[in-house]
Amino acid sequence: MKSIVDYNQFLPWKNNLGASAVEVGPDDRSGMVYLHDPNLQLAAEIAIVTQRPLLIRGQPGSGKSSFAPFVARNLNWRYYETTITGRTEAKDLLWKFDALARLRDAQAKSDIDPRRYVTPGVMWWAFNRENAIDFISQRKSLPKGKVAVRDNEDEPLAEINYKRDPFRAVVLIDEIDKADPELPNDLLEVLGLNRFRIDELDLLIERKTLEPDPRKNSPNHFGGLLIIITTNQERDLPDAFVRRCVVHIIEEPEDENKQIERLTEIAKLHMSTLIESHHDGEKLVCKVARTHYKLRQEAKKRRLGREPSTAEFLDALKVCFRLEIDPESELWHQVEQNVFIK
Amino acid sequence: MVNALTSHNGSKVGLAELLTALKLLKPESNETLALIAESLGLNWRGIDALQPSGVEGQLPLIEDSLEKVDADVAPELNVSMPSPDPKFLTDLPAKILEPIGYEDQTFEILDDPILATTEALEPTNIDSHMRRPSYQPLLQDKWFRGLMSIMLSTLIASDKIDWKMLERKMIRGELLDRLPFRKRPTLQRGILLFLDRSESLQPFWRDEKELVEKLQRLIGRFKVEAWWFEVDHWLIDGPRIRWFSPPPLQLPRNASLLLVSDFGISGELSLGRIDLDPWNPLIDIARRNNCPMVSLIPAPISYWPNALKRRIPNSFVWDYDTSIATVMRNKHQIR
Repeated sequence: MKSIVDYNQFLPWKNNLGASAVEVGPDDRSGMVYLHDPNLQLAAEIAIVTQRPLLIRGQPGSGKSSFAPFVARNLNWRYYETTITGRTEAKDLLWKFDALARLRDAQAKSDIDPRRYVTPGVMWWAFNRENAIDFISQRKSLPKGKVAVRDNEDEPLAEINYKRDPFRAVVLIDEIDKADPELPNDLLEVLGLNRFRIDELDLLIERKTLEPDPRKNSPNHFGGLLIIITTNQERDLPDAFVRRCVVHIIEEPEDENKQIERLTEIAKLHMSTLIESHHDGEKLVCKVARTHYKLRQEAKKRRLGREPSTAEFLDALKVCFRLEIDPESELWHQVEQNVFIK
Repeated sequence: MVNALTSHNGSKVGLAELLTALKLLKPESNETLALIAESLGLNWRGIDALQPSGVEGQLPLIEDSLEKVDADVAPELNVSMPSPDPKFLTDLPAKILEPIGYEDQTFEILDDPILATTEALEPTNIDSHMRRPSYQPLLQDKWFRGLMSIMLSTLIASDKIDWKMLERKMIRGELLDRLPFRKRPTLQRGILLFLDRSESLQPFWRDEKELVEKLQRLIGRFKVEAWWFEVDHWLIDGPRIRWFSPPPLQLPRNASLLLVSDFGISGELSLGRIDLDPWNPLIDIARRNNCPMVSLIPAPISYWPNALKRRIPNSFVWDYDTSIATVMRNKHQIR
């Protein structure tokens, strides 16, 4: 995709480059930094205004998952995440039911209010946080509405979310291609109708309708929920699912200079302190970036199926800084083996 | 335009979302508009596609088109264009906007010396008559995912307690050594494939290759393993399987094993008497590793040897008409 700026942009893109910063790892979920990508920015804005999920495709380690917490931080929206595994079912994103506890209590003939055994999932929190909090209050037999936001230990990532917009959220559904092939289709109804029913309680949970912020330059004017789904493309996703998403592919540039420039920028964002404190920090970054590029090209030629990723580049760079290893030294071969080639 | 696009390829097109995005994001150029459309799965070729080459026209501004939707003049009429070629009119909706992934069928003109000397046919466009038929898979694409799920899924325990079974056990006073959980079908265990590459199956070699690739795309490259074999009928001690590369002694337990073979039905030597013995080692491998076996056979059921259904109950015709309903009706729950 070409770079574009000639439209009504509303998504802020601020990297947290505080002086006391910043050494941010490649898989960091703090959302502090993300290299500016105007095409990805546009894709996120399209997803917000059209109320469709944003499906990000890309190789492992290309930065797909780090984008969601970054967007959430910039929008000041709450952030929830879930990583899909081979055993994940669609229901797990909506609610969890502790069947074992219920059975145990049934055997002890104690009070078995079924609400006790239901825990809101990430989509419930994203759809309707107030409802999730009230539900938990009732479950704990507390007076409704008396649960202080900051005391709500049951909210995922409560330590960051309590400061954020209580009505708007970003949800990361990570690595959806690892799931059973049926899971994406099972999610379609929930994503399309913005509601779901809890079987055990016969309770309908609906997404809260928000009044758009009247300020036309505010992101909150355009929407209140962004679902970001990532895939490593290990297998195809159902057409019906993909067609309902806004799709963005994270690609690394083929041109050597552009790739090195990109990696250098990423390195500066993630480890500015290390680079500045090293006597030849920028040169070292460049050397590692060139080596990374060569290894990628070699992997492509040999069709190894997996090329070194941006995340591995950052790992290798950290090794060089921390252990003072030069990419031209003998020890570098060991670093290559352990970090890149594996 | 919506009707034309829907009937064009049967897909759902998110025009409402596109219009919403264009209205709110207000792209100022056709390039940005194209990028927005591309994110939504649409190819925007722009008004330029309508105009014959060498004719200049004025592009309608996107904003004007949206803002003046209630105006009595359609925005397209702002463009000064000559009378369009009828070809452009019939292709009008498809030229502007069509789902990504749709491409005109490519074709090759067969390089045949005899055809080269033949007089041109009416209509004069030879290409339309020389078109090689596109590849048609043996199982319909629209059913492929469903068919493979039903045929090849194995059952694993879900996290839902099977309350009915629990009730039954408690009523009977049975000792519970573990909680009964409901089972759900899954393809996560992966698929093993034994593919017959015998001469009799030569018309289906490409289909076998396509089947492997489609399964890899469905389930994941690392969850599909394939081994190729042929049946050698000319051995002194009788027909036998010969592996191109033999499978390991131990296969992943409980993974479904799909056997693609004609079981000698279409071979010259069948003569109506088909001996399944050469295929027995394959069935033994499946049993030894506790892998439920399914077979796909490119021949009608009436041609199958009687013993086949007994040996491999989950056998299905590998054919375009094999539907999900057919498979569900004939599937034996042996897992």
